[in-house]
Amino acid sequence: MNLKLNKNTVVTTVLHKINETLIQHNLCELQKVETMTVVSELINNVLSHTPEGEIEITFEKEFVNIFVRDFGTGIQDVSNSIKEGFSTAGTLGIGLPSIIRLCDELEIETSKKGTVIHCKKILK
Amino acid sequence: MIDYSFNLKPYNKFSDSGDFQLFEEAEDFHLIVVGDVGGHANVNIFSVAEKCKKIIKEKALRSLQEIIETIHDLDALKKYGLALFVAKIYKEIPVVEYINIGTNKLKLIRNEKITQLSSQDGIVGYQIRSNLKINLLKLQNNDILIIVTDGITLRSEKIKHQINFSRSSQNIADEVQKYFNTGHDDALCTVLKFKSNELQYQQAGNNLYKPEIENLIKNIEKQEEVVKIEQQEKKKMGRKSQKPIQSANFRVFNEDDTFVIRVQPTDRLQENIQNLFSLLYLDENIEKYLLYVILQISSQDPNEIIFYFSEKSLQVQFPISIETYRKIYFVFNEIKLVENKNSSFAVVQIDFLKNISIETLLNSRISEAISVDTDIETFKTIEKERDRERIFNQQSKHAMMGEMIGAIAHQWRQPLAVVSGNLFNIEDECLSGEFDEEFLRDEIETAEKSLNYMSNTIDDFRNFFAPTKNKRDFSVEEAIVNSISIVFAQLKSNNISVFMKSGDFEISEFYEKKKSTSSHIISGYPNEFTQVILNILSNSKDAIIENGIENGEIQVVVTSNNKMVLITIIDNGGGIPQGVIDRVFEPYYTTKEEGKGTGIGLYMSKMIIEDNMNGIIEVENIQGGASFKISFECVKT
Repeated sequence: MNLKLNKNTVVTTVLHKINETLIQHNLCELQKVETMTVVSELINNVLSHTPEGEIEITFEKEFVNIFVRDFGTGIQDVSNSIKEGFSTAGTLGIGLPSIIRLCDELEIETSKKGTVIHCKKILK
Repeated sequence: MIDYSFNLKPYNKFSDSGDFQLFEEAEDFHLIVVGDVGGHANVNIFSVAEKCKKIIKEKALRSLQEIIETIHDLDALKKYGLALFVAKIYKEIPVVEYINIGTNKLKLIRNEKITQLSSQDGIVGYQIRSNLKINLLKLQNNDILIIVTDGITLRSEKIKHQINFSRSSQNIADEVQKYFNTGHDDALCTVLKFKSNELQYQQAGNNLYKPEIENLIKNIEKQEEVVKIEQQEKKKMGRKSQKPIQSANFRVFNEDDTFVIRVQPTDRLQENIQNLFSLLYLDENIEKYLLYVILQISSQDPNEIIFYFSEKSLQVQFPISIETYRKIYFVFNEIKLVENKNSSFAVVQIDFLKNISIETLLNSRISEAISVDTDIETFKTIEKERDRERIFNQQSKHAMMGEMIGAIAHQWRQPLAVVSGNLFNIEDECLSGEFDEEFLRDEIETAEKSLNYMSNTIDDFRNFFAPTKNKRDFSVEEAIVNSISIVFAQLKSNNISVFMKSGDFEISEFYEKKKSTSSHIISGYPNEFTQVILNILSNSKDAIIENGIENGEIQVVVTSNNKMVLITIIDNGGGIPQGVIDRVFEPYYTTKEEGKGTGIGLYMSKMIIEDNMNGIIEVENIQGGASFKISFECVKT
């Protein structure tokens, strides 16, 4: 499934759609919650930092692929954005850190022309 | 933990090689650099490479972009150009951040699978793209990264067979050099073996790696125990449940200042919580997370969510099953589980970034707004409407009272004159010496009649003012006769005649209440209904007087059709101006001169008839006047 993200996007609606797709693909509860968290973080990143983007979710035999592309100005301060939320120990892993934590494979390519994120979540 | 090695084989000798590498350690990351200055066997390129290394070391703490840009500006490079790979591997996050420009190749070996990672066009020193691409890759335990300059050609299919990846990084680098060196250029191979040290990450308190499920459940169980003990302590202290939980776990929550908001799991749950959060000084990310978690839980298990506020912090409680808790704990480990005898619920406590004022929170009306499932603005509008209605009712009562007093004055004028006449007659007879007992009895009887009449008038008004509490069945005709008799004297004095008809029953004199021979029974509030008839009569009277109509006339006709009873009130007061006839039932709408009308009468009439008594009230202009029609369903005729 491929969903466009822009100013008119209602996060809950998008999340709801994705959640239904995950249910269709028989993900277990834990994987569903984790995948949804990753997806929700990714979408929120796009919507709060960039004008528009898209999210694509594909299923393969052993993993879920999540592609997110946005047309923003890239991640400004990589070092700090992956550390964010780390200062207060025991709090939430939010933003990029939580994505790093929750997905099995992650590749990010960021430049002034936008950011492409590819996450893989292995289905056990 | 990183196992790092390299193997450099110059084309000619080390002192004229342009390939170079760096492995530097900073506080929270390792910096890895692989560079290839253009050309080979040239003393100059060696010194340029050395210069690059020096600058990179100086700039090691800067961002990768800055490092590249600084090197790019180096004059010495303009002549030769540079292929450059720079990377940071973070110590507390299993992530490599890198920029790879030019001909250096980067391979990732993960689970024996070899992937070529991306690079971008450009030559540092000549031309690089303005939008440099930064790549981030999450590293896994035993990942191997191999970076080679163009003196080495790595073929993925061959590497698999010829290199033993289980050996040390030095062995791998040596083997790559041995098997894949092209022999045409300086050749550098660097190898990084990444060992994730979970313990290290855990100690750093970052919980970076997803903990294994078993460990996690152990953790949870430990916590449950702790909380259970606290619960018992609480019971001993005799505290009631449904209060903010206070314990070392949840920091201090001063009950005296606690303010509670209960949020029901309605369709507007998200909006309601967002509205609530917008008034608090919460960390934006925590706010987002908390909302997400609450919505997720609520979608599975809709329950009341309780928010406790103190000036410093917020405590959220919601019922949750242990199964759900175990699922959600991964995502939001601020959540603590508390078990009661019969239920378990989740508790989250969050400190505000800045103290809030409970009073401000109270005054914001958010609690009331949420309790009626709406936002503050709408709630305030509703409340304004309610206030307005209340004022209407009150003003309407006052206005009515004014009219009433006018009516009483008229009603009383005649009997008062009669009594006064009686007194005069008695005085006169007495003084003239013709006074006898019979005369006195006659006079007293007349006076008593008048006084009784006055007394009855007061009863009428008093009844009329007490609102009927319960719906009851009553006769339309009787109520109308009552209404007319209240204002009859007033109408008469203004030379307005009133005529009422219902079937065979006709009446035009209302000094004494005649019982109607025809009767329609409806269900409702008789006194309020009387009020409506009075309103209309009063309006007719005003119109007749205002328009200077000499023979004012008001007709009240009751007819019935099937089960419906229709009351028509017609006057010859000139009617309602066309432009305003559609608006006469609106509140505060009046065509009367300022000070004379309140504009409340007809609005209240409509509310009484339509909202309270399920009837219909309409108005239209007829020849020479206005016609009000009120219809109800009849209980019996």
